[in-house]
Amino acid sequence: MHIPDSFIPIGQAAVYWLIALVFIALALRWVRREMSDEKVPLLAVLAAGVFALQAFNIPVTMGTSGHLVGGALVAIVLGSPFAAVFVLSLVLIVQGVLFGDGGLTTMGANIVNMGVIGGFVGYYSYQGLMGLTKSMLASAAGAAWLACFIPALAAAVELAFAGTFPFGPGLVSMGIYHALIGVIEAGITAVVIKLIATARPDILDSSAGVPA
Amino acid sequence: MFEQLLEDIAQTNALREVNTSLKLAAGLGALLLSLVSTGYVAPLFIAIVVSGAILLLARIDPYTYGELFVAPVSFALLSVAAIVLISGGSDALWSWQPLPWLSFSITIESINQGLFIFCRTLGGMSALLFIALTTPMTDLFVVMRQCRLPEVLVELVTIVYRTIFILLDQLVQCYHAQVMRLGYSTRRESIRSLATLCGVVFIASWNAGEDLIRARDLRCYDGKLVVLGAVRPVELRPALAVAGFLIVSSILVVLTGKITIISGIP
Amino acid sequence: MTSIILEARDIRYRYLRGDEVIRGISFHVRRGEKIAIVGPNGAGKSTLLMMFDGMLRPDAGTMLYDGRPILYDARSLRTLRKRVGFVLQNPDQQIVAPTVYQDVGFGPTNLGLPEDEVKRVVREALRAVGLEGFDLRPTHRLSGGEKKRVAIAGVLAMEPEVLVFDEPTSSLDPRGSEEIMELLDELNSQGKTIVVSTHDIELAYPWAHRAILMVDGMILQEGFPEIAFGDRELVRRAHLSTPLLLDIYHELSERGFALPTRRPFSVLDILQVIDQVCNQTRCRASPGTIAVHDVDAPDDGGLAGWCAARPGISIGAMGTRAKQRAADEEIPLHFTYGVVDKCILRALLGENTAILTNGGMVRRVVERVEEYSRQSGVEIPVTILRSS
Repeated sequence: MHIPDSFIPIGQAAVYWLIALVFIALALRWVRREMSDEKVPLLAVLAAGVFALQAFNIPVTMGTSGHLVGGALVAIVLGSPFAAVFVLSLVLIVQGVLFGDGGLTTMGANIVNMGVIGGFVGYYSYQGLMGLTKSMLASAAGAAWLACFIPALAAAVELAFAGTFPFGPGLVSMGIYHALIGVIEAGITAVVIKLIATARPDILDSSAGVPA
Repeated sequence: MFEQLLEDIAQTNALREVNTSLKLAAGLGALLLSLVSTGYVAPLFIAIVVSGAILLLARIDPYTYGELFVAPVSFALLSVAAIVLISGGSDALWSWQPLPWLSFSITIESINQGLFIFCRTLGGMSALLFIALTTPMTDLFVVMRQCRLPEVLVELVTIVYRTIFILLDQLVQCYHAQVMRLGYSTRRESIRSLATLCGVVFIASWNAGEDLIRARDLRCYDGKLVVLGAVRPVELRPALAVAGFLIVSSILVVLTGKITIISGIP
Repeated sequence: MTSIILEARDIRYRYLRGDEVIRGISFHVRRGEKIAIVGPNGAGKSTLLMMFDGMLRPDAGTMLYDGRPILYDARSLRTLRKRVGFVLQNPDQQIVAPTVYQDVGFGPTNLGLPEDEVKRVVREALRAVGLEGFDLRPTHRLSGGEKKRVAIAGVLAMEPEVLVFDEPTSSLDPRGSEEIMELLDELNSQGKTIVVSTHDIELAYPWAHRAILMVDGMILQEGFPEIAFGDRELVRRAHLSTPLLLDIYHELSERGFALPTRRPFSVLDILQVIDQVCNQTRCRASPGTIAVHDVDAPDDGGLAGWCAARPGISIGAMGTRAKQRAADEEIPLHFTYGVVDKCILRALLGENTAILTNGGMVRRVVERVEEYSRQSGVEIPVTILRSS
């Protein structure tokens, strides 16, 4: 779902960047409030983990690549959408700036899609689904699917605005494709949460994700 | 994984000694100019010049460069094909409507648009690869600090960088362990193995975080990070080359904005 | 300034969801000692070590540094960790920065040293571990042994009084292990107290001043290595084996041979035992000489020439500076570990040898040879060719 550089004109890219920066600032505030100074590196290493997971790239049509996003996973484990914003921003920055993999001008849009939209959709749908089903696995899976599908739609809308792709067909193809990939992301997220719950429940126990 | 490859190449490329900010200026400038251009000529020019710099000046092995370029170029081609077939326009050279709601057509505009996007992608990709191939990460950290980016950000980015390689190693080892035990023999098993792999990496990264906190405490962490010197001076010839390139590219952007491959309706 | 620098008094510890790992341990370490804590996996060695650095806090009992109980507030811990340097078993867990210079400089920078001071200590630390010139290397690109040495350098750069190593030679090849142990000897000769944990008794036996056998969270035996490892029953209960040379000594003793009272720690020692057992000394040739060169001496470039003029001579180097010098001047080395003993062995066969070393080790060479001469009755001439 990463949008590469040439697909969005500079003017619009700047707008997305602004939105992204606002959310990053909010996320930073959350981090400062919820996590003691020395625990902050935890977020960085989680970003490294997400980076490693995203390194499994599945090439896709429409010029963007499909793979695990991890937004819902981070939001659920750490207990806040802002965690996802923060961690995914780090991942995108490292990917784009350090490894030259992923757009620089479009990073703002990508952060908005995967970090902000993905994080918030993932977190709140998890809460909502938990209220309905009481099953951690099912809620995590559902949340992860939505956190993959909805941002893809957002990306399609952005690309349409940019004039790179027409609205209708873009929406349909991105939608269908990510609806399918979303199933994989849902499955993997559920299994990972289960693994953490059994092997390292202390990670989930810590409120707001801050270890004791 | 390309990451280690890129970093190794960057450490030993022929343009290593050129001042980092200069290289960044060249790369970012090329990228921005590619994006700002409204015609296909400038980005194409940029792509050619930058690729030339990568192959001839930095002396990157052409096969390696080709390898790195293949994936993004194939995406680009696919998306360009999509654009050409779907964008529509007023004068259809060919069209096909297999289903009532699904129609494809090739028009002059869609061809122009497709080519334009493709060249823009080439320009952008080559600029990014230029930065990635000629600038090792450690130099980038120095520049980030020089740009007065917030310490927190630089610190976090260095941690991510440092941890990535450890995790990638573990990920590969775990993957091999799974393969050796036939974890990917059936589709169902594969999905299970893949999911477990992701879980393992996630937990491993959490452990790495706790290790990091402990390692820092062991050495009396007080919030400070080590400043790495080694700033190379800007030399005249490279500076002139970069400036010349950027100026010429800018001129092209302005002058060739309206040129399309098939004229007719612009 | 008491002579006891580290002390544990009746400490107990249990992990969050488990059994007690440390079940009542008391012992002490004196300044300048080399201590080896030996025991099987799961004995609690690492846990115990981590208490010396304040990383873990005992549930009961007291940990003392320099006669005073360890306090666990952030400030006191910082001071403690400046004085007690800890090297983890896995260097990947210890390296925090992307380049070697940044990692080794981490400690000194956070201790508040100004930049040029940091540069100085980093350079010296890298030289001490034999990684000169590695400043800009990315840390993830290093081999296991190099990472280990970077981890050690990072701790050395903080100039601690005590060094604690958890399994210092794990994941090192034999040569790497030898070099690390020799580095620890060098550091000890500079006055640092060294505590290591290991399950390699062959390593611990000749090296330590005192050995502590630990099993199941308790100390089984404590004392000089030949005593600690000398009791077969205890060694068995500790899931260890008797050091080879000691084993041979015991077997010979049980066969009724009269043996020198001093237990053998090295090949040289066991040869003396064998000489006595066989009641004859094999080396009737007049012994060769050992020439000692101090590499820190003001040099007129004669060292390489001196060595070249004696093509048959065996040359050994002790200490990292000497080895560096030999590498720089392309002097071939025949011995890099256990140099003095090996040169004595050669001398007993009538061969001449040369030792490159520096600093306090020059005197140690002389002392060792004189000690041997006293015990064996064979006089080996030692000439010091250059000294600083």
